[in-house]
Amino acid sequence: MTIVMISSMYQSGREELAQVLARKTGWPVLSREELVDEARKLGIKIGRLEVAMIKTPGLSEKLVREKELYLAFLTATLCEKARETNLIYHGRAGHLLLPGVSHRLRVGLTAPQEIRIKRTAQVLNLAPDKAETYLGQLDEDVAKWIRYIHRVDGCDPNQFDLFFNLENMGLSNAAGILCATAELPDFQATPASLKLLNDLNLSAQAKLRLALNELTLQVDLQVHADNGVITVTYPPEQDQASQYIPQVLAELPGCREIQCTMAETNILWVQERFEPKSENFGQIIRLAQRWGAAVELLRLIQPGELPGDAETLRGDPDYGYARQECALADDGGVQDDDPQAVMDDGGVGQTEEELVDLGRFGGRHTICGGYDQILKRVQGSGRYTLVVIGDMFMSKGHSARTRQTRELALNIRDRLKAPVITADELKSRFLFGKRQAVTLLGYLSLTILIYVLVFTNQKPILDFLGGPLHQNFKVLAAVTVTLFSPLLAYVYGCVSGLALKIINVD
Amino acid sequence: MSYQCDILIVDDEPIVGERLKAFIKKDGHRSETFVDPSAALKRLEEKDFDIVISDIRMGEIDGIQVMQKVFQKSRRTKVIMITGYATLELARESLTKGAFDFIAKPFKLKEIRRTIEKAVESLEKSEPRKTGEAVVG
Repeated sequence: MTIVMISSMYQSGREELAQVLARKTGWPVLSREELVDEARKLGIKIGRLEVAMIKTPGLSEKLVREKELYLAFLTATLCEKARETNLIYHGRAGHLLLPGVSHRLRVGLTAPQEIRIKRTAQVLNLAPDKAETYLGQLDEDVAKWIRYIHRVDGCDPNQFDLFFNLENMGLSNAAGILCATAELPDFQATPASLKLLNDLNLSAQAKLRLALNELTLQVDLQVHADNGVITVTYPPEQDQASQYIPQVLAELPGCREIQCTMAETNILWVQERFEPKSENFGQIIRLAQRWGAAVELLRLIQPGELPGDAETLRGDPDYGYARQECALADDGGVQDDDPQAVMDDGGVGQTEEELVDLGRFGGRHTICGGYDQILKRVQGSGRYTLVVIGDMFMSKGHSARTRQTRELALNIRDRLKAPVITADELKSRFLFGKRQAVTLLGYLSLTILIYVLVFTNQKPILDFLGGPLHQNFKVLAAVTVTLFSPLLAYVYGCVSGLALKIINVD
Repeated sequence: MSYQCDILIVDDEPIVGERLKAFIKKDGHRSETFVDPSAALKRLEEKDFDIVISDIRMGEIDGIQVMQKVFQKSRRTKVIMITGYATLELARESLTKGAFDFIAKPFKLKEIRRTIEKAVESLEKSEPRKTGEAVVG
């Protein structure tokens, strides 16, 4: 049993190759276009996702969840179709679907540019120069799409098992090679690959059910399936909605057990304005990935800096997400404006998108005030492993900003059980950067020097500590040992600590 | 301040025309809506519109054909394509063939408002209207 996944750029012959192969083998063919049409009927906004590669989406538009749904739908449908039979699938980036399943044969295809231009000109009724421009732009869009959806380079040869250049090879011969390759034992289903296929299917089915059900659509969930056991992890902030998870997943075919667990490790990131491309974001995400932690965003607006159009802030958690069921909507796809989207959200929405994409989103809040308001928001929850105070008091000068940020961190630290650090401290305490590398080099050199000196001067040292020389300097020897031992321990400890940071052990 | 534009809307779903017409009127423009693309083409023969908003998938006549018909008559008209079946290929095709913008459904009203504003700006730059024409704003 084999799944042949043919991928190519527009007008490079993937559909034709799939059809020729189907004629030779009698295997069913499935195209991405068919799946996309089915996904649209479910209300997944694939059109918005696609056009976002050409136009920048609106600030309030949450497309990462649509991306997850799109991938879940494709995975679930492909797994269902390929469970008991061979299958030929063709479509954009098809070779990147069903990751890890060893009985899929990932096929790439390319055709000479002149042929592509000719075909495009014919199909779209364009002049050749326009067709060339069209293809150039489309290829760029598709490459962007693959990077956004799959986070890899679509042309990376490591992602393919076979790659055909149709410049000198006919489709029939290419299909013949494919038939022979698909017969190889390397691409036959094994118990392990079938288990992975079932796990992927179950996990994708569960994600779809949870994301499309109104009881759970607002909950940010991590779903994992293993041998019929579905594990759903939810952020503590959303534990109310999580009670519906077993109900929504009840009677899901292939599921024998549902485990709902609250994410235990959480980092609270307090900041005035968020920016997913900032250094702070990079550092926090590195730590979150190392710990397997979710990151909760808390935007703190200084009193008096509340936007004019927002007199008050809601006390409820601000998930910033509401699925419009476009398949069921009776507005013809013309939706009323969302009044909340008008307000500047301080980059929280964009950062949320990035965190969701990385599977690290733990919730978001916006509050107005000082540390009292932060404490009111988080006190008693006891759910944070770490609180990071990021860039605060940005309207103040550098020294005032540093002082006030430290004061804020101290005040929160005194009254909260979790450790509280500033963004500056984050790097020095938990991460390994250039500064830490220089420190490690310094301490390592010192340690080596001490050991070299000790082991090359053993005789005088032993004399000093217990030999004839010792009788004259008893007190000095004792003082030297008292001072030297902790000094060596400190230097050696620093080296060990920094070395452990390199391998991500805290 | 912006000109009062003549906008033709063609979409086989009546609700789209109704919703767009209401909000376009609120913004001070004139609009005519059609659910039958043949009737829209007939109207386009009779009158020059500043902006045409067209769905793409509409049965026998699609939005690309409507756009080509518009350009045969008037190159200054701005055509905005809207569709619930958006793909990268379709969006690029529309833009290559001269569409002013391409919007995937579902969209918010502010998105199409922004696009109409840009189209009006572009019209103003390319061919300022004669003095005496209606101005709103």
